[in-house]
Amino acid sequence: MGPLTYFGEISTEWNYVIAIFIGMAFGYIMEASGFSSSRKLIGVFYGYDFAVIRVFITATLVAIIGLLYMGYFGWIDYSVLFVHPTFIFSATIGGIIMGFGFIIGGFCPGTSLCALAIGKLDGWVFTIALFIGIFIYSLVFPLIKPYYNMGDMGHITISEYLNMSNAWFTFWFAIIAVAIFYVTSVIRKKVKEVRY
Amino acid sequence: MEELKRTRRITIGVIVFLAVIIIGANTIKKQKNIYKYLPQQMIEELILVYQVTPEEAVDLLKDTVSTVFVDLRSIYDYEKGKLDNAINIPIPMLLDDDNKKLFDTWKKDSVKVVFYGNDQLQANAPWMMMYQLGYTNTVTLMGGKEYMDLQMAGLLSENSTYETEKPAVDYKAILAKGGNNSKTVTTVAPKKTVVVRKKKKKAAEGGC
Amino acid sequence: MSKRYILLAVVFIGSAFGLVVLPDKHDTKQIPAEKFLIEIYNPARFLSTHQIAKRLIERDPSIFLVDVRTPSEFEEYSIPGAFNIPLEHILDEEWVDYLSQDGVDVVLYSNGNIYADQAWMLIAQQGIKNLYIMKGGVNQWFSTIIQPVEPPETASSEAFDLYAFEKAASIYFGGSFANIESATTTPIKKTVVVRKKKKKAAEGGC
Repeated sequence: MGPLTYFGEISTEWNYVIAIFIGMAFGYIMEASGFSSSRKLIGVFYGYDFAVIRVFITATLVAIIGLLYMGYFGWIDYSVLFVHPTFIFSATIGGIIMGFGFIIGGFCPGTSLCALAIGKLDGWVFTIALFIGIFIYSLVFPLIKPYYNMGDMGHITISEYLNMSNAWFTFWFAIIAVAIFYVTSVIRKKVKEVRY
Repeated sequence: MEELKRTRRITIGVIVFLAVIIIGANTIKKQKNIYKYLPQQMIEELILVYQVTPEEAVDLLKDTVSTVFVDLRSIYDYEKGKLDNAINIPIPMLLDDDNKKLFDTWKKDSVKVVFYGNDQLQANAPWMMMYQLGYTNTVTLMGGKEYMDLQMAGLLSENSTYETEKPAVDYKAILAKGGNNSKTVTTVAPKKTVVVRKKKKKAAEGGC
Repeated sequence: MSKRYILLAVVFIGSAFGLVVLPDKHDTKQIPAEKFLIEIYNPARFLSTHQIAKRLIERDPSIFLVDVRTPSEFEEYSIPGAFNIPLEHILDEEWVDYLSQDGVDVVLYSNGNIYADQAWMLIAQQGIKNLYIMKGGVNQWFSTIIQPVEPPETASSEAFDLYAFEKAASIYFGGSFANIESATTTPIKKTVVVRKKKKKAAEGGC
């Protein structure tokens, strides 16, 4: 049962069908915006290309504004949305590790599959290594289990944590996002252009 | 060229985004019938008197000025036999515009509206809905048309009752008569354990 | 900086601000009255005592009986397997999970029809599915299942089949035939209780 209520309930089977189409569109857009190039992806860390951060913040903004509007119009049952539990310390540690992996490897998991699909060798290597990593992780999981659930905050959203209404949070987030766009464009102008 | 492509994308994206919001704003359905009493409030209203007994109904039928009887049965049933001066509004047509106007005027003139069906059950749910929609001048007729017919024809037997919520028989006594009931009842049908299902939580899916 | 980027920024901030100034919408899960009226009119919301007795005898796990009478009445007699939620507490938070179970038919009953019907109205208009009323309530339960009355000679064969089922059920539920063994020598024909198929909401295509 998807949260989309406009057509009545969507059954699980249709959910998967729709998911496939959304996945295709997602992959296409990622590849079309050049996210299969690890140089472009890495640019955000060296300051010559901020496409990644812009794309993700834009995506977040579109999603959050769209969701709230659709919820208001009665297209989406907002209360059905699943909020992942937040493990604040685990997430921080995991984020740092992932960030290093991103810089070293040049891909994040989704984009590596994108690169694999267009036949990039580094994409292949990254994806194979990804599965080796998953395998190793599952083997050592008992050892790192205590660090897995650190800082449990439950199913909480930022606006709940800040005791803000969703609308106001979105508004401030939009302003911050625009500020980030501006700052990144300023940084990009200062950094020597890299051809890639 | 590269720059041109990207900018066009942004414009298209913005247009689509705004179009969705504008279309959405136009599709907001205006609620035609607004519940005045939500379930939580309605449950408290249920304590109030909401039904008239057939005896009272006989007097109310004579009073055509401040009372109106609404027959909720089908047109066919209505044609076959109705209470005097009753108006026929089959259940599916209750919220038609014309009928709602009728109810509005009755409410304004504080006319008591008595819903009846073949039995009280038939009138109960429609009554509750009309009450929740704010028509608090409505009641149901206990026993319904069937009981009224019997009453008017003087055919009421000892068994006929309009208080359907009263136990018709002494349950305990009957089961005691049934023999080794206490044993059978408890052994034959063990209490079911209630499985409380929590909302399904979906596993985390997909990163970037 | 391109004008288009400025446009984008303005659209984002503008639409986000739009959210802030949107008038409050009291969002209820109430089914609109016009739609709910059709559900009220649908006789499929009632189950007969026979249907319920049959499913109880078969130990159908997908049926959950809810007794909306007072606790004292519940103490005195209740249908086996029933769970007591008095009418005035039917909307309490703690019972929400009991009343809306996926794949389980929740059947409400009281002594008659009215209280069960009121309970049904209160819950069903919040969009909860699989909710039924035992038609006739405990009174009907006694007159059909516990103390079945033999149909007149002239009645149809279906009536006699039903009566045979009632007698068997009566034994099962400890009613008036519980200790008359000879009464059960007639072969018990199985009454087939036809369950109405629930209407499913139209599934959305894309």
